[in-house]
Amino acid sequence: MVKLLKYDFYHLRKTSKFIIFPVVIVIFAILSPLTARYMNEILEMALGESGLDITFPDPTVLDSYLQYMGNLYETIIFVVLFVGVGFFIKDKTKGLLPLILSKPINRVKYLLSKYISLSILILVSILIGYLVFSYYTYFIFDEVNMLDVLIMSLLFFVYVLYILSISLFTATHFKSYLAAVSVTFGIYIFTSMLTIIEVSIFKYLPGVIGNSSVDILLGNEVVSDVVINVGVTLVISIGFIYLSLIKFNKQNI
Amino acid sequence: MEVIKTVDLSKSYNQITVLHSLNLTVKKGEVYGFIGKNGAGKTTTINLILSLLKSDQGTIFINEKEIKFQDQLYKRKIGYVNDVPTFPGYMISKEYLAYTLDIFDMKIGDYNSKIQDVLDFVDLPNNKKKISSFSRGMKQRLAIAQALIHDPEILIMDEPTSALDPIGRNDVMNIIYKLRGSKTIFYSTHILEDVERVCDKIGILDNGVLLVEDTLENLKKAYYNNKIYIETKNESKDLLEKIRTNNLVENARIEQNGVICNLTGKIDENTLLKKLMELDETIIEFSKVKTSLEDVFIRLTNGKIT
Repeated sequence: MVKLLKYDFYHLRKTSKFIIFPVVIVIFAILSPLTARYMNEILEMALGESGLDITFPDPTVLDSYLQYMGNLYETIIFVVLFVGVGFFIKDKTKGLLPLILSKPINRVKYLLSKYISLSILILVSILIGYLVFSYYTYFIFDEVNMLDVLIMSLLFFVYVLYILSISLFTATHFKSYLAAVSVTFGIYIFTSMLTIIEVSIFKYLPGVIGNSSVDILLGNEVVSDVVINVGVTLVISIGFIYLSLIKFNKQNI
Repeated sequence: MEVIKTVDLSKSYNQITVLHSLNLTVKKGEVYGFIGKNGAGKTTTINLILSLLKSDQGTIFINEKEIKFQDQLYKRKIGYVNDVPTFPGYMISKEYLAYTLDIFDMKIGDYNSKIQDVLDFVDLPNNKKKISSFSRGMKQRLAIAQALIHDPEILIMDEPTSALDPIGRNDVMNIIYKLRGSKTIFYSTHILEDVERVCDKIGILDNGVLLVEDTLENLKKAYYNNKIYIETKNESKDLLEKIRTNNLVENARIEQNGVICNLTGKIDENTLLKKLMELDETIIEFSKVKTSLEDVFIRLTNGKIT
């Protein structure tokens, strides 16, 4: 397993994915507090010629948090989805699998290594983003709650694990990248839409993790709900991983 | 020792059986030519042996030990070369071979000298050129290098020359020729000329059925040595008539200016020659026809006699 991880990291490094994730997250970590701080000016400039006279409240550190969170959940997650499916399916679509699996490589370890290596890369990127965001937020707003930002970042990572598990599931079930990405995207949209429906049990679904983060930032969180939400997300993720392993283990190459 | 053995091995795709109760045996040190037309089931057989596919029924033995789908340990004894090998394009050959050594968990002192030896053996330069810029021939030689790097007992090659130009094909055949005697080689192909050059034993597969499995020597005895070409001063159709009337040979037919036929086994070529002379034939040519493996193959797979 360690050797497989070593080569998966080597692949990530050689194919620039090692750079993509930290760079994109750091860019948003820098831009988010800046955007929050100067949003009023940006809006005033945009509305300047329309003659509307709207007074915006002064930006606070909370706006910086929400801006960053919005970028994570609305932009970074798509990078995770597209890159994740590509990373998991490439050995199949590029015809590398026969030579790989002709060697004494356990299929379960092979698949887990891919999932773990990409997850670790994204976790490290998120943590770098956390440090950069905290620094820039403090630099611009003179205050930052590093614990809240850390929890917000780790909750996002739980959501990343969920999206990666769907990506792994579709990559093992479909032969083409396009089909796998489309179905992953479909599952993502479907589970996000479920959060709109007012059914009490739905408040624990993976798509609600972003809302849990907002509640924590606003101080409105119900700890038990957040814990259950995280637990349900992890259980569903493990379910997708398990189904992927079952499929891949029996699969004709 | 039986290195590879399959017993009643069968495989279907979407209810179409592509391999019917395959029983083949490869003994230690043999170069086994597994030949068949495209779609005959050669790659399926190899993929079953490598656990890339799961069989519907039957058993596979490697070194006389039964293997199960997903067993991994036996793969340490096998090196595999596929028809169109694909590698991570960003790697250089040395990196890919180091990765292979790592995966096989080779406890050898010096990776570099081992890699250099194998690269020398397949005549690939040890440079910084990325695999993505390799020609097909170079990729095939790298595929052989990665199959040999862990010094396996068995080399399984699935149509290793099918996608190569004549020069690349010759290079690969030379490598296989050099390996004769040191490895057991199971080699699938539809290029029969290559098989004649390197193989000791042949299995002919057609529509998933193993039609024949024997040594090249025995196949030659069975199919090569009984065909005779006869040309006399007489008209070939008269000669044919005479041969048929006297029931001397089988499958007689006109070819060029004479008659080609098969000895029946009841009379040998000396007796046949004597009989023809007794029939007042003036012999211009009387020669054994060297049948190629291709003739045997066509005869067995289509029922046509050349």
